[in-house]
Amino acid sequence: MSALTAIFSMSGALLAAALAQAGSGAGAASSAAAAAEVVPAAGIGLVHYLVVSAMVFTLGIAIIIIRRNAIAVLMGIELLLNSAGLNFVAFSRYVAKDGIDGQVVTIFIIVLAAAEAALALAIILNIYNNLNTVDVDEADALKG
Amino acid sequence: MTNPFPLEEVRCILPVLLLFAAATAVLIADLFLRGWNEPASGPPKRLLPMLSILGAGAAGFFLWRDWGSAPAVVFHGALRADAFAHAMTAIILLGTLLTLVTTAAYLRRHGTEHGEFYALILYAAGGMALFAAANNLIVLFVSLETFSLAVYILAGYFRDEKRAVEGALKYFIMGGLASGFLLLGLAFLFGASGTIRLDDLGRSPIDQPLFLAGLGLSMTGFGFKVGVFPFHSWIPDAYEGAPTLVTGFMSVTVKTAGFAALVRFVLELSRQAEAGPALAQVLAWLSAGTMIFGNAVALVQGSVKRMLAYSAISHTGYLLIGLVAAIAPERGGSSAPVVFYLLSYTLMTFGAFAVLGSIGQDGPENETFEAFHGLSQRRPLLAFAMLVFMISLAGIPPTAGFWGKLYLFREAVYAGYWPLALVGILTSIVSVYYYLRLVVVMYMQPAGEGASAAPAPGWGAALATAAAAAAVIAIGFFPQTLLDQSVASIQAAFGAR
Repeated sequence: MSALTAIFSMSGALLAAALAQAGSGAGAASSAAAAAEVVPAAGIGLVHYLVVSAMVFTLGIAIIIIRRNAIAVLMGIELLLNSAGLNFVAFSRYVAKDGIDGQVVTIFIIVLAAAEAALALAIILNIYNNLNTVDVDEADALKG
Repeated sequence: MTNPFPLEEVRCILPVLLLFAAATAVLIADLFLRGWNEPASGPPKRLLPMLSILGAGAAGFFLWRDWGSAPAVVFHGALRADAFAHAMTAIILLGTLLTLVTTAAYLRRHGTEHGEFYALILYAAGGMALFAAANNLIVLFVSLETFSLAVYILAGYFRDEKRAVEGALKYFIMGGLASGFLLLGLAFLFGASGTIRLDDLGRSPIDQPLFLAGLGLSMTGFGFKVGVFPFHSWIPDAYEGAPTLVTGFMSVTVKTAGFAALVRFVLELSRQAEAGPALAQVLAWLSAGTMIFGNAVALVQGSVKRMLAYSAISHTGYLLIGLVAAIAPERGGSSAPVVFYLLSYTLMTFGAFAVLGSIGQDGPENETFEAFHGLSQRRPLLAFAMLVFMISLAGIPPTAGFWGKLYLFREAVYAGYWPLALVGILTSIVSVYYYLRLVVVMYMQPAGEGASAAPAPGWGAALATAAAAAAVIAIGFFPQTLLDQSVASIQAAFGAR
């Protein structure tokens, strides 16, 4: 299990590094004035948001794979959605400056994440009623 | 200032609105009927399936009225109502209607007829129809979740059955993972291009590494949804756990909707010069892997339901051939065979699940090959319908499945991907073994201990099965009209491809 965690933190670091490169590429693609804004004087820029989002995404995947509790797995799925939402807001601020499209997407993501959570808890309740546990490894009747 | 909500554009989404309205009407009617609907099969309860069939039929009527109209980008670019979206909505409606006609008696037999079942089917169908026409990332994601959430509930509809809730849990976890990948991919595509419109994504200047990362992640998400080989793991479990007719609904409509959005997504995004060839190469490998894996594992299944689940995976592989052909770098083929194949797939796969749902109560004991022993003596018509569906799934003439595969393979050869066609032909030959195994036990084995009760199917199930079987044979003899229609729909929507 610790090996899995190590693999995931490593792949997360790799993903973050790749993103940092891609982010700076995005900055270079815009005009010089825009590039100045991508990494403002305060030091927080698009790349930082992307790296945080990549970390959140990786943590979400790690939770889905490692944790056996169905409710924890649901939390992992919520992390995936939130990392994408964070990306949308960041890109909306730094890349597509003329509109608020990205931020609107994020609002929809929040609403749908709530709907998904409600549904998932209902399914988990059914699992508990049938199996008396919410451990996903106990739900193993179907195979082949 | 432009009109924020142009009323004349509502016409383009009338089928979707009707489906949602019918679903809501069913829910409200169920509330009022709940007080006096004992016994459960009394006349008031019959209203609900009829209301839902009426809603789906009305949606079909308005779809037919708009058939062949010019492509229209409506609601400020959020939706694209074109011939391709119409064709896909028609196939989704066909699957929905077959399901609605078949399920009433089936649910009554299992003592679980509730109004929300029909409402969920209709909500799912509405979400799928919207998914097929989605032209921006918001609509794409919202409609995906609309039908996915409905189908998660339907998969666990028999909530006192262990395997049903287990299948629903696995489906939900993998579906949530898929949504996460898809959404992160869409975020990267948005970041790479600065637009959320699909038709602009293929044309605006992009940041290449970010675009390719987004493409890869979103293709992974789509791959989960339609059941491409390395991302297929939820399919057998969710298909086995769900009520048999829900499995039929899932396998035909979810796949149709998934491929509708996938075709639009891939054709629009492969306009970017960097994306097309790489995407074709990756999809070709995925297609070959899916065909080989699905057919190989289907060979060793002891349960007919699981066998059909793996067969559904293998058919995803065949369908991917059409996508590869359409975006092949040099001589682009057409993705029109995908439309034709999805129609024949809907008829033959739903038919097979309808027969499986008719031979006895849901449960592992009625899904074995032994349950089908001697079915030709007990229910000759049902056995004959299953024979038609099996030879069509195997791709033997004169059936719809034969022409579907032929057109797909021909397009692959035309686009220069002949090895893919070769893999397709070889795996089809392998698939003959497990499809005809069922035919052999139905016709040549006497009914043994494990044989199913095979009660008389209700008129709805009989009607749907007979119609599907007749259509499979009719398309087998006269495929040209439908092929012309599919070619026309792709050309009207995407130009030459």
